[in-house]
Amino acid sequence: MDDRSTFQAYLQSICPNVFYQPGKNVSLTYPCVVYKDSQVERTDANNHLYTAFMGYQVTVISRDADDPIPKQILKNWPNTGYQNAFITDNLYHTVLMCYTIY
Amino acid sequence: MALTWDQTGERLYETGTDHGVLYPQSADGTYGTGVAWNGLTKVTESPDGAEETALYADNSKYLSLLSAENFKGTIEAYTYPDEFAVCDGSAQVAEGVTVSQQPRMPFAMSYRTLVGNDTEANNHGYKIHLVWGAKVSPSERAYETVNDTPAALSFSWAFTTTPVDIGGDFQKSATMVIDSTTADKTALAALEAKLYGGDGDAQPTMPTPQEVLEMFKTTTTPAP
Repeated sequence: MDDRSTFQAYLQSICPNVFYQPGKNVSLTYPCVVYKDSQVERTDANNHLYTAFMGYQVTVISRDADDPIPKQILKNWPNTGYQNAFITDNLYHTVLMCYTIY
Repeated sequence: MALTWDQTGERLYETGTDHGVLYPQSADGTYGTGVAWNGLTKVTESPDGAEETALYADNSKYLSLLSAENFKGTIEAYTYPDEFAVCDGSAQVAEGVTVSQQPRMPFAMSYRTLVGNDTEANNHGYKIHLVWGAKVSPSERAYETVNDTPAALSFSWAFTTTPVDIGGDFQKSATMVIDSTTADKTALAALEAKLYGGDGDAQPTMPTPQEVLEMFKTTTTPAP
């Protein structure tokens, strides 16, 4: 499993606009991938943290209802799960959960 | 003086396990250099035996005989030292190539559990568990596809032991526990230096039960 910088590079390879935990003043251009820290999956051994995986909530936002980016992430990034999808302001949002090593 | 319960500082509990060390047995029966067991998650002690055989006479229970005790359990970890392979029936036939279903080498191990209380939490003390003459049996390994949740395979080995001579008036035993909250501090430091290695060239080695008893000589008393 790779780290966040590798994940960032992967996302940039399939989408020109990738935002990691963007501030409120950041203007998004579409299609884009917005992702943020969501949860840490940890394993413990010898009375301390042994390995940890960071789970990111990844939201793909596009004007295209059939945008291939969500499917590409699901197919190519290990430890990725589909969460949900919704439409806001005529923008199609697909939410995934992806993990990297922490 | 009246009894009291659960006073401050007396609310003891035990938790955790760490400092696992494996000491594979050599062909000559001695235990080799200890190696750290990374990823140790659980050691379950499941002794059995001491089963009662009741004898009756004169229309009532006359005597109760107990069978011998057997110390056994399971070890769980995310990984294991390379040196454990021979203990788990593997043999290296070439660099990076191993075959299984080979003779299983006995081993000794030590591990630590924590003793906590209500004032110092988990820092109150610890117990060092020593196990001699252990052998593991084959165990299942369920390799599973990578899926939407990260997970690591947890290995589990069931072990049994053959008791060894303890010395003195004690019966043979396969295990010994040293409690840091009551044991002599100097002897404990010496034991830890032997178990975990020390400064310079001191290699981690498993002492014999007699050596351990010798270290803690002033406080060893046979059970009545």
